[in-house]
Amino acid sequence: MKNKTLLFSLILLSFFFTACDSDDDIITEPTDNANSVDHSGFISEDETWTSDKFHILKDRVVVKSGVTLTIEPGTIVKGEAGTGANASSLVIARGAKINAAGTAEKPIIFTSIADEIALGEKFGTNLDPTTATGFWGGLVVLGNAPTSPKTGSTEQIEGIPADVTEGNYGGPDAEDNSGTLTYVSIRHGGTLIGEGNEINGLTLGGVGSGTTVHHIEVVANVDDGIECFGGTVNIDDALVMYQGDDAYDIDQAYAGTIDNFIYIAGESSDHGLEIDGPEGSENSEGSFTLKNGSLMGNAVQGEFADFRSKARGTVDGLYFFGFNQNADVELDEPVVSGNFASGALNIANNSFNSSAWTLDEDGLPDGSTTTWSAVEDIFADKADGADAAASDAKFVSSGNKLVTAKDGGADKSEFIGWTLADAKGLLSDF
Amino acid sequence: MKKSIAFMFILLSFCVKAQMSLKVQRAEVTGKILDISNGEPLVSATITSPTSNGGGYSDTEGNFTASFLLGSHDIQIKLMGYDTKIISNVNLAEGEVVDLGIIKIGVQAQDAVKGGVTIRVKKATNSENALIVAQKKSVNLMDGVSAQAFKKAGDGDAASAASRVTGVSVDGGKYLFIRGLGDRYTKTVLNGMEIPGLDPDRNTVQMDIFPTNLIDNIVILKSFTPNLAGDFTGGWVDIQTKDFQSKEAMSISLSLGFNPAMNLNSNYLSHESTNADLLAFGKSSRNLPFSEPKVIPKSEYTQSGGGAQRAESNANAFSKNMDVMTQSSMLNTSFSLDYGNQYNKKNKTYGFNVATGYSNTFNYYENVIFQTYLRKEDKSVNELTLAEKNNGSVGENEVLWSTLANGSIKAGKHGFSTSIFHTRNGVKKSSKLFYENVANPFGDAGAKLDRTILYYNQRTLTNLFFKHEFKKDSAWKFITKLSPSISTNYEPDMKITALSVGEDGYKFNVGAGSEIKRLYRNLSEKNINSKFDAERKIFLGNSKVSKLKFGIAHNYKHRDFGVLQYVFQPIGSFNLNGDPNQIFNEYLYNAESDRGYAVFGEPIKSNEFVSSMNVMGAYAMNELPIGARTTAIYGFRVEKSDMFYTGENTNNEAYLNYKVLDEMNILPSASFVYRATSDVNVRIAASQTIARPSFKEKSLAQIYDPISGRTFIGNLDLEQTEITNLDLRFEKFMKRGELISVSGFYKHFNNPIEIVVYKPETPTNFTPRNAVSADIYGAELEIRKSLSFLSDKLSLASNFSYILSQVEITPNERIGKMIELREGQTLDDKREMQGQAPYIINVGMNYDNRESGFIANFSYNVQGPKLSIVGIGRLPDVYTESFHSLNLKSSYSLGKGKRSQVSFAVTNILNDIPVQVYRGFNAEDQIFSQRQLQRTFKVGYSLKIK
Repeated sequence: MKNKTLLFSLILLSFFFTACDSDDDIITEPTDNANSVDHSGFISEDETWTSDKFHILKDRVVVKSGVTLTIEPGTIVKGEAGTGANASSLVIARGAKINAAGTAEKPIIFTSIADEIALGEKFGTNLDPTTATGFWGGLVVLGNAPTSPKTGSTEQIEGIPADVTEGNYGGPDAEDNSGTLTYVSIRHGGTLIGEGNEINGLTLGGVGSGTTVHHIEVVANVDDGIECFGGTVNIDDALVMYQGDDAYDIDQAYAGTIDNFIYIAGESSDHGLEIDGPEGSENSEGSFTLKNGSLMGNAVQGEFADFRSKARGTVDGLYFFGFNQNADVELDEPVVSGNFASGALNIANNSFNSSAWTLDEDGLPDGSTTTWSAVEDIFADKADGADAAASDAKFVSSGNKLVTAKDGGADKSEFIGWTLADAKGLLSDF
Repeated sequence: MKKSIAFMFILLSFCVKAQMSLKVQRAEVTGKILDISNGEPLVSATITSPTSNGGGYSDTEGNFTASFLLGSHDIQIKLMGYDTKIISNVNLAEGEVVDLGIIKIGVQAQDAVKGGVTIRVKKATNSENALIVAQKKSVNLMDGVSAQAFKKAGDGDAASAASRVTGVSVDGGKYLFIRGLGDRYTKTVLNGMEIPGLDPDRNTVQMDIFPTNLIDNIVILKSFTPNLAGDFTGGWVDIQTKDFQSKEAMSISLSLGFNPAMNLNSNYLSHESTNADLLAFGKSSRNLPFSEPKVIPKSEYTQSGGGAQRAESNANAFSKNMDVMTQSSMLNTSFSLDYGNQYNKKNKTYGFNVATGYSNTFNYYENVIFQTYLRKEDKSVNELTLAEKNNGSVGENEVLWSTLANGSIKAGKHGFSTSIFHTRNGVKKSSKLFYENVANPFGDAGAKLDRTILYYNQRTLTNLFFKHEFKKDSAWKFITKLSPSISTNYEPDMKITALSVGEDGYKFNVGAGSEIKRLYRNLSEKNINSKFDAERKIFLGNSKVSKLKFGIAHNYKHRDFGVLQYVFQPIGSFNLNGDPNQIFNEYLYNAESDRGYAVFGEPIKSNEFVSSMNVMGAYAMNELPIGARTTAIYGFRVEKSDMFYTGENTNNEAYLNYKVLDEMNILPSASFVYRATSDVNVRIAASQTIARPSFKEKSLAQIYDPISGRTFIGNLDLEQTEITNLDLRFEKFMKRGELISVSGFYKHFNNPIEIVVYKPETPTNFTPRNAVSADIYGAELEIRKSLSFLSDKLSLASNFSYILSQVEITPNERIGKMIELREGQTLDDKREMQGQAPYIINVGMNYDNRESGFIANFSYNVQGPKLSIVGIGRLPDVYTESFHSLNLKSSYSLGKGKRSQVSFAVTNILNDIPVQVYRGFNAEDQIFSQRQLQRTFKVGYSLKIK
């Protein structure tokens, strides 16, 4: 019997591993520090962020539908470091509003916690905008305007987990109003927000034309500068510089106008413009307009523009300069090529500055087999079976031309006095 | 009196000279074997002698005639579940028939038989015949595969061995599907006790970690009785490790495998490693370079007070080799050693067994393909369109070793046994893939990436087992078992380099998907399972016995999972040549130049969780003979389960040891076995069982899997599944292990859990959800038959299963499918269950010439195409196509006493290719994934030293 008792006690021993009772931990709520306020999680009541303190995004801060977040002119918002689910960002959900009406005197700054900018200042000095990218997330505004996602008429914005319903955008209301963004500068963002997915500086998903967006600067973002996923919002006076991917990225049949914009390429920037069309069958007629832009490339890498999957819209009166001589304007596939032929994609009256391009002894540019004798040489219709000659001819007859001096483009005065680009003296060439 | 003429067991001392002489002098032994407890005749007992070939079987009346060489022999009588009886010094003279008379055997045989008797205890469950006997006597619906069978078929691990069983299919070479029901409904236990799984994504045990040389048999129960844990539905898989030997035995075996495409191939891909990899200790050279998970912000280098220096040292802390190495692969090798013995001292019997095995396998897949196809956005087009593709080569080296040691003491009424089992597995994978985004709106269209992935996975399982058996008297029996285990699954330092390839060379383009990543995943699980079972025999007279069984059980499980990821990104821009090592050798962040690839990362809470579960069970059941031919088995089990979760999601919702499951279930079961004749059983069974969500499923975890590119989102609202099982089986047992059985079953699932797309907008995010209900109807046929009309050496073992499954689709899936229906396509309310094969076929043909020592086995296994991924939105369904697996294993025993055996095996004779396809409405199938397996040849040698 002794054996049995021993074994019984062994069994009993194993029962001691029983875990303890449940304990429901709730986290959150803004904490007010001496000169800063921490923000975290969901904002479900109207709130105002005042300019007398730094506002710290501890993680993903989401303004819920029906709620308005007001950010006073001159306010500095700083994002904590973090990647993936820990990434800090400010998300204005569909149905919510942001009221961030800065002024040229008091712009609203979104930057990293690492930026040693002082309250009341417009610029910090410790971060090098050519390299200091990806220190926090970005600003995401979502709305209820028509969008053409890959399936259906709504979409989950990239980088926000599927279970966060506030990541949804797109809907029927073309005049939807997500609030006001004026004189807003977004710096050093673009961290890895989802897997293999870096956040853009300013992401506009299904944002409607009732929203006021002008005087926006995006500096040193890992991914794209400004990316519009569908929607109808108009953007005036935008500046993107030193981004890691594309400056202006258009997807899902964005149907607004971007007017008077500037681009300053960094050493690892890709395209000035990267434009896609509708992804699905809904709202697939949406058509954008880009006009009065000045885009400065660099001699190392980067392209003028890439028109891809079914892109449709108008690119009119842009001035490209400082690009390397292998840069091109590319049509990627047959539908976009057809759109160009039919006029659904209108690329007209753009000027390309060729003054810095050099030719080898053989009379050809370095590493290229074409000469720069004509503007069609920078035009690459890559669609299989496209009538290259007709396509080239149309590019020329649409008023696109090579130039050797400034010709049209943006009015840089809108960017003087409040942008980091101006403070760094980068606008002199525009 | 029937005569059995086939010879099943070849025993020792068969000399070559005797084989060569034309006429051998033989004589016969006859007798009758009865069960000592009830006097019933016993069928299929084997009658053999260690000093002669030949032998015989008892027939349905217990009678036998066995043929042996002339001379004096120790005749052995063996039957699974009974003590082996040895009748010593039986003298056989020419022309004589020796009648041994009535021989009674039993589990507790106490009486002596004439001729000087020794009684030795050995449950010979490792023979196929013994398993059939067990199957016949079982109160459950039972199937099994024995060591004997998997030696014949040449199976290397438990997964492939189990695939011989009726209705069993193996998923990914690791997980058992029983009756097509996935691992969720299958419970794998070791010696009847629960052990931890090794996969963060599953609730069950990976079967490929058990090498067959440590396994005695695998028993699969398909119906529930209250003495088993209640959380299984498809099957209860009991891997029974080797028992000790009845006499001293020692053997070694060696084998070499060769696959013309994979071994000795100079293109084989590997990566930098140490000798520790050879013993599956490869984690030691791939540990995190910091003593603890370290938070490194991207902005570190801008920090004052030496931030740049810290950034430089952090980047340099990681090992620098990121590239694959092309080298020649070796032959596959395996080695095993077994030793066992038994001693008798005074009134005690001591037995022990030690077995160890090692294998080293190389796989090399050239032209591996993974692709994404989509439905066109134009709904009038049915054909699928290519969105993205990956192709390239993958080299894989797997090391597996295991050791089992067990011992037991039997003293009077007490029996005590204990064992320790350790298995360790290391997989080193090196992949070079070229990715092209052809036209995928989910990514960056047109992007091309050169992707290099170096991966290592180290898994271990250590299990202790204690059992005490106390037979108080002929009525009472008590069994106590305790089994603690620890398992770990490490994926240390997964290295991913993806560089964009463009017209102007290699670039690090984040928009196109360029990335450099180091990933660490850890899973550990502890498990303590204890059981106490009591059995009371009630003698009803008329040699009928009613058995009353009751007991309690407890299982505690604790799982800890975490992921750590470090990402390298450039500060500045660099000229890349495409070599993944270039960045680590030349361009790591340098404080002085303030340029280079800097590292950042931190533990991500939503990727981690700690969960535990307690299940307490108690049961009572009764086996009651009703009339002469029927036994009723009925009873119920009560299970109380509590699951606790610690973790948080990305929305700041956090839980600390929060009780996520609190269930009390009463699980009734009733079955009837009707012995129509002594060879025919008809069984009918009904029971209620449950399936609990896994730790990861019942959580808030959001876990990204870099291998599949998918994110898994836990679901705290998940409910456990309740299943009603109905089974009907007809079985006919014949001589020489022949068997025919026909079964039908029906299962109704309430709240079945399915892994589905979270919502149509996020097709790569998956979550478990309860469907309303599901139903399964199935039929099974098993035939084991000697093909004596062709040759008495040929036999056939085959089984067929047909399963019809239906699950009601969730509203979410309906919406996701409706928006992308093609013109003319309709959507049913129900579909087949995920992972459920519609049919499974196993056919085995054995040639067994014991006299010449030549054995050969052809086996064929196939399962019908099954739905693997449920498509939604523009993603079509993915099906796993049938893989026709035809294998040959042969062996030839030679030398003195046939102690030496050479073997030759060919696997995948048909050179079939495992493929998964996208299947659209009226559209041509398109490849989702494919890799070339090729034929493998294997030669082996084994020697019985003692």
